[in-house]
Amino acid sequence: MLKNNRQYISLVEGSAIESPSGNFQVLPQSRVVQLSGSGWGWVWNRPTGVVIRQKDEEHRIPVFNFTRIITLLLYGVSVFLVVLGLLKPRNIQRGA
Amino acid sequence: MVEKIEKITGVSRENEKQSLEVLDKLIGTARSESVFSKPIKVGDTQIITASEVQVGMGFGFGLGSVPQFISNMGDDITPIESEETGIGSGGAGGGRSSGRPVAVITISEEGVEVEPILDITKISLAFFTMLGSIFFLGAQMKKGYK
Repeated sequence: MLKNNRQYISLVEGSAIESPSGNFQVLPQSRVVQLSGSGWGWVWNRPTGVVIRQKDEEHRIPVFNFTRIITLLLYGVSVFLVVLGLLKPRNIQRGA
Repeated sequence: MVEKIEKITGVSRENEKQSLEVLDKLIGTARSESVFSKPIKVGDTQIITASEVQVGMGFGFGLGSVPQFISNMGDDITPIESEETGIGSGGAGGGRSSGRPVAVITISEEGVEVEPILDITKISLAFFTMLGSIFFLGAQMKKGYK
């Protein structure tokens, strides 16, 4: 049963996928943000990257959500411009 | 009367238990399988889609009863004796879930490739919002110079 007030951020690794020839293995990774209390819960699970294992070597390719990065950037600029628009005219009038 | 209250409380507890079980199942989306799809084989290439998953849910229950001895809420607080009693219970819940593909992972003999998936609609909406704020800033600056 769900315990009250459970919050954590964890890195989850999926099961390894063999390459067609079996030369290397691909291990998908995701990050989970989980918040829950009594009567509510929220889970955000997003991919973070894939780990490629080849013999003794291991290297990671990150997975980015470019849509989120671009939209956050654009909305951030929008908020900045609106705040600037609300502040600037008063300063100009004061200076005049 | 007591039996009635016990019956309602029992039903309420049962509903709460069931809701907690549903919540527990929803929290199960924290698995890696919900983010990465099973590989699809196309010739010698394997394709996996990586998605972002969000699940949120909340619910609440309430139970209350009016005692036999009721007092009205007016200025003159005079107790009213009543034979009838009232009990009631209620509950509500809501939730939201969303999933969106973020990237396509291609596994072939040449290596592993990660191709991002862009949501043009979301980006366009954000772009037009920014365009609106540029016009707003321009109008405000014009006003300021007058």
